[in-house]
Amino acid sequence: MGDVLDLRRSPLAGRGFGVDSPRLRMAEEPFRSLVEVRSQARPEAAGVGATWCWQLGPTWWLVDGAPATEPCLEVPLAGVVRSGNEGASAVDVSAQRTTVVLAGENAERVLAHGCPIDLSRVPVGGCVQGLLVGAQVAIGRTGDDAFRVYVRPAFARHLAAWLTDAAVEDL
Amino acid sequence: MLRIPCPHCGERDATEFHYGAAAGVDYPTDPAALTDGEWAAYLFVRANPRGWFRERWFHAAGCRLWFHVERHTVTDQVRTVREGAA
Ligand SMILES: [Zn+2]
Repeated sequence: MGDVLDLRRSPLAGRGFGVDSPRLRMAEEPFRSLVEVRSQARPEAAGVGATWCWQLGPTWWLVDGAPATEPCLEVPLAGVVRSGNEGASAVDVSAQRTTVVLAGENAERVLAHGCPIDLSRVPVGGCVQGLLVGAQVAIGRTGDDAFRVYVRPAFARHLAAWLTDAAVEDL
Repeated sequence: MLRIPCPHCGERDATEFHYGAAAGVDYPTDPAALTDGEWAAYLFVRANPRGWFRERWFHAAGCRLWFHVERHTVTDQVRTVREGAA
């Protein structure tokens, strides 16, 4: 049996999406390991090997880790968040979203073209959910000029096409 | 654009929300005992005031929580906001 992962196809595969210019870099990061956690407290995501942990709502978290051959964060996270808290849960949602990363001095400007949320008020490590050119997204800030945008597969091509067009003046 | 203050996310465009109509309309304790008229009144009859109105909103594109807003139906000014689904 060949590598089953070779059969996966990301929402933006073959679309030619991506920019690498001095002031703006955009790319899809497909197949990230994503887990949604319901818990009062912020889950200890770093302890199970995850890279990011975004707050989506008062008791709602999105944990983002490196791609893996199988769901690898759900079980350890469930163990962590459910200890002493029976109401908490962790569910693998890797297939629910793909990730688009933007970086560079113009990254915030490109997003602002299509997003009514004031991203300048989002701190590093902070996350907002809302509409970006009509697509429901979660936008997490990973640095002063770096963002991760989580978008549903069905909206990914629309978002990528819009980003490609919106970025023309910001390359 | 009408702007709605979500108690968790802050003020956002109304297009991110789903409107939940009047607040404080309790489900009948014994629906089977109601007459057709009483059931219709529960379903459809609302105050529709010209002035302050308590209503529910759902932040569908954001934190996905229900909450209450007191909004002036003429000016769209918002007076109080309260968390909670009921
Ligand atoms: Zn909200």
